Amino acid sequence: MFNIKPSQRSGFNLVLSLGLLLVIWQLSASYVNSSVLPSPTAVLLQLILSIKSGDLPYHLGITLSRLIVSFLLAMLFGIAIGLLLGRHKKTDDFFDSWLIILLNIPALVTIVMCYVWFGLVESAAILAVVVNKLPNVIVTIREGAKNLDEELLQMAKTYRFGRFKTLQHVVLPQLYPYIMASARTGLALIWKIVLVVELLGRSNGMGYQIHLFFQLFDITSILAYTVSFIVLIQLIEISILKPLDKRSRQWKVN
Amino acid sequence: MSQFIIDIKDKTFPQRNDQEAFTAIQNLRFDIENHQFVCLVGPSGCGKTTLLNLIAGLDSEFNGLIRNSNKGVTIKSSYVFQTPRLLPWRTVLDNIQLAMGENSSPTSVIESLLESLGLKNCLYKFPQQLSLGMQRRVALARAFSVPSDLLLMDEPFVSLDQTTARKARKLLLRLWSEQARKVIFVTHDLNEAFELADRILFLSESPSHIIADIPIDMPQLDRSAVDIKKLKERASIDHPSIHSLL
Repeated sequence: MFNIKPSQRSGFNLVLSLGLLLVIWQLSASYVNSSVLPSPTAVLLQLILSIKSGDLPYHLGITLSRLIVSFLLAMLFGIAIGLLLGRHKKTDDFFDSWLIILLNIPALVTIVMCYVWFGLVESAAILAVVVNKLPNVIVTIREGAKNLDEELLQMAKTYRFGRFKTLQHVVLPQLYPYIMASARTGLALIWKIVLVVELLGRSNGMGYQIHLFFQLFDITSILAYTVSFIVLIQLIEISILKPLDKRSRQWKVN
Repeated sequence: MSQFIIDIKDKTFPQRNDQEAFTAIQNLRFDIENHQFVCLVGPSGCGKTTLLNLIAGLDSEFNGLIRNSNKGVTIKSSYVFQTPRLLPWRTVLDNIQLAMGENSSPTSVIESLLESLGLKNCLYKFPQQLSLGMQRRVALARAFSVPSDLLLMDEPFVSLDQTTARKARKLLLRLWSEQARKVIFVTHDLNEAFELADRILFLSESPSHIIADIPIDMPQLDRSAVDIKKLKERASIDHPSIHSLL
């Protein structure tokens, strides 16, 4: 009866489910009727206000730049170390316990230690975020590196590909799903950690702002900032990660 | 004309976990010269693939030597594996050009080679869009595109149906006559060996060594099915040691 494309249907479902969430939020806000749970419209108005005043774009920009720098550093080193450990069993056996320790240090401890050792400076903040994300990337990439196709590596060796060509054409395409997985989880994890880092030792960025709003008991602003960031992360997903995914899958039949 | 010397005193896989140490090859020696087409025949598990990997330089843990008779000149080999081993995320053209490296020939040359192998309009296809037979032909094209003195082939036509395999063998012989080079071709199919080879080496069970070295003088393209049968019969009379394989 209806001729709806699957992509349209999923878009429709998304609108429906987000709409439901908004309705629940609105209803509970009007039921509670208190400043601790502002209604979606109040949050939206506050969001527009903060954008107009320039506060939100400034702090959001700061947080975003911290996120991008620490994300790239964590991915770069994570891929390199993960590849090394995945391909060299002896090194992996030796450093495995280090990795487990790193994985289990609470994020808060790393942040505090970085600030104590290196002072309340930008590089300490970035380092704290990278150290928190790094072990996750390493573990994921290591798994991928262990599962590399030996036959294709042999092929690359007989046809004298060399190190760089092998990495680019044989190894990285195989690691791609693992890289994407750690990029996705990484983005979500890193922005949460960046906020804590900012809250504890920076005088700008979203974490700092939220701390401020908390002291002023301005819940509407806290939610407005949160919404703006969630939208931003979604935009990154849609405009960067999804197209990358699609491009890397074009060789697959179906 | 260069001559390649293959002289393997001993190739042993070390003990690992619950597996005992295993000697795959012992005292296996032969020379290969001019543009000889050598077929290696032996029972399965006798170390044929191991031998090819040694010659290709994929495995350097063995006692003995593999070298060019002109000392200091390395052996440049290309390898057609049992499976096509194409990069699934690169197009047919990219797969061939990557193997050729910096001095890759222009697209038109590769295209005409592919066309002669019955792969028209495949340049920009991905391997998974091709049938297994076509992928094997791409692997063959790749091996011939790369400038090499020695072509190693490890049962490249196994698991193809009879007709396709026969066609592939004809193509191989044509390519080889056009771009002559030394070939070492591993097979367990005697008919295939007697159809293709200038010389057949029979290997023993592991630890493998050569038990018979049979030259075939008749040019490959002249051999009919009847000739191949006769060649086989004569070989079994002259070399009783290979009786179990025939």
